Amino acid sequence: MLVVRRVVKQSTSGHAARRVAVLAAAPAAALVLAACGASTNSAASGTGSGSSAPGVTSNSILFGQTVPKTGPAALYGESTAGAQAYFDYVNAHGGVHGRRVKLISLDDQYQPPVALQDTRTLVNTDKVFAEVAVNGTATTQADITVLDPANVPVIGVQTGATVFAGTLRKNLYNVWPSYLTEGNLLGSFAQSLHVSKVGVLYQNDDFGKSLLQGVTNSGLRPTMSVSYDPTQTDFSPQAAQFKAAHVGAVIILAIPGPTTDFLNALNSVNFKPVRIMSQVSAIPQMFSTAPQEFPGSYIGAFIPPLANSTDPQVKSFLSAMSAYQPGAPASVFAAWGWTEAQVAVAGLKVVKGTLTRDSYEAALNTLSSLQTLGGSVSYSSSNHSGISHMFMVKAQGGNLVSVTG
Amino acid sequence: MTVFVQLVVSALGFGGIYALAALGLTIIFKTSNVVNFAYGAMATVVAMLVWTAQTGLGLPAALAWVLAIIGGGALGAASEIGFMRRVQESAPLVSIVMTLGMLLIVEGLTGVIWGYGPKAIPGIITGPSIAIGPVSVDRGGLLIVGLTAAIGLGLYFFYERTRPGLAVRAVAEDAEVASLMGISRRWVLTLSWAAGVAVTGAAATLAAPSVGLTPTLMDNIAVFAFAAAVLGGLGSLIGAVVGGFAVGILADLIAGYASANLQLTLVFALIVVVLYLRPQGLFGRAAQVRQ
Repeated sequence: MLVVRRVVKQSTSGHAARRVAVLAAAPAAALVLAACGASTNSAASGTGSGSSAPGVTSNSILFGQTVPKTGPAALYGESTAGAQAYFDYVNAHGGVHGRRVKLISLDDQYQPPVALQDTRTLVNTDKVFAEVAVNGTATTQADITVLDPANVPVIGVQTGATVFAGTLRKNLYNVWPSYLTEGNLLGSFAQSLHVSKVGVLYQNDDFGKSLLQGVTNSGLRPTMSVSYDPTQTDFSPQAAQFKAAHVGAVIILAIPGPTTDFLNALNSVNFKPVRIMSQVSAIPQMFSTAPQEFPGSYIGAFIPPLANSTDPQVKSFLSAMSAYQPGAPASVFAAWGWTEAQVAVAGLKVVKGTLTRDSYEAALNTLSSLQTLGGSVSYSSSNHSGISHMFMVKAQGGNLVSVTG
Repeated sequence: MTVFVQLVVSALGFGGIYALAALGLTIIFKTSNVVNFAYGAMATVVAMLVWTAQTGLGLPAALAWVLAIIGGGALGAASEIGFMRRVQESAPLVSIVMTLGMLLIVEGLTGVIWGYGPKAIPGIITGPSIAIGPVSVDRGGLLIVGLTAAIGLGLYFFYERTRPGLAVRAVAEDAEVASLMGISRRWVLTLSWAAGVAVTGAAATLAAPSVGLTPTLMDNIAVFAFAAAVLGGLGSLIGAVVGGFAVGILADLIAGYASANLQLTLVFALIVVVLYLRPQGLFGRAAQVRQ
């Protein structure tokens, strides 16, 4: 165990020289863990004999997740169907080394106290092996107070907040691009439009400020940056301000509800600048809830447009959703879950020796240029950041379509 | 100056919504002396019923509205008969807790029944805003102002010029004396709850086209409308209307010239000042400030 601890300590240092040492040490660590077998993890986690880690049996591996299925962020809960569809697809093709992958999904209502209790249940009662596709910044911040001490691997946190995307944690593997990456893309795109003035509307919290930081990192100097409160409903003041400033484009760094309200407020003051928004904002329902201003909007994305796509990753996703989750929408949220489940399973496939949480993390650290629905993923012991490539799409004809030219 | 005028004009739409919602709160408070904290959640049910009637059943907008308003009235009446009547003689805190409980129950059930994804209710009036010089006037906002004025005047006429209205006022003044005169307090309370939820439901339905219909549609609006009712003087119809527009305009000016994050803080700071100077609110009568 001393050997393992030393490896862990080094793996979080982030230095290239140590990375080599860790890569060399990882298989050794896996061997040591394998030699320790059940005792290594069972002792720490209190599992029964015969299993190499909590949630792992000879024929199954149990994942857990907390996502909002009710409450204001319930749409994000659609990601569960995507993750489940990928697990179903994998199981239908023999599982992972003969083991079926299972998922327990609990509703956290987007509330950190609920998420924390859910996570305790998943780890202590359900004995999940790892978590996959968990949602939210504040909720996950609560979750990790349980997950980190127990060294529960977490694959995919649906947030780009720097508290996760910019911080290396031994057991947490990002899949989403960071908000800095996305903000940079939105800012660069705005500059490419060559409009004289660009305004920014941002949510006055870590989410909005991280994206805003990315926007300014792109070199864009907004004419005006206006914040809003997440509980706000009437956005006519902000719409009036942008109209009075004659901005040619507005970058909207907001969650879906306020984005809808703001777009409708722009319409009510007869103002139609170029609208550029975060992937977090854009939900398909906006074609009906903001019918005047959502069409034509530009949106940052890492999930490729799902409609009329010839992309084999998209076709696999849509086909599996149709086959295994026929009642669930094959939405971009489901695509988040699918992508994160792809990474989780890819890690399982390359585990060397006995499957333990440590050997799983060591295996995840070896993933290189893994092609997923959402893009390429690479990890190392010093890099757990997610997808780095993003692009712009446009709301058009009831779908999100690629921006060409 | 243009920005100031635009902010004030744009605020009229939400000001009207706050005023209507405050009217609904006032109608119930006038007779029952209870602040119905579930009013926002109950109003959302009315908007959901409009959506179901229009989108699900394909009914024309006018018929959908009528049916939903009737449904809202039934919900209000059922709440009074099923829950509030039981605690009518209990301490005021019990009634408050009861309405808070109903808020959670109704909002939760709304999510279970209609789901949490945003839904669209088409505006009754659509089309581009009317340009008056550099200022844009939203057609939907004009409709809201007109409806608010019509409902406010209608309620004023009802309370001041009709015999049923007189009966309601009698119950509000002294329920025991009113019952001695043959006025059924139970009926008055039931009908007040029905009317209160129906009027607030109209506010929710008017808000939905610009906000997007979800179970939490009225969460923020209900807070501002409550502020409006308190500012105007709980129990005063004209106070609710004036308070609604005042809060709407004030909130937008704060967001426009200071910060949106200060809206609630400064609005309630003003209310604290007003109540300090005039505990019954702007238009409330001292007698309406009850123990």
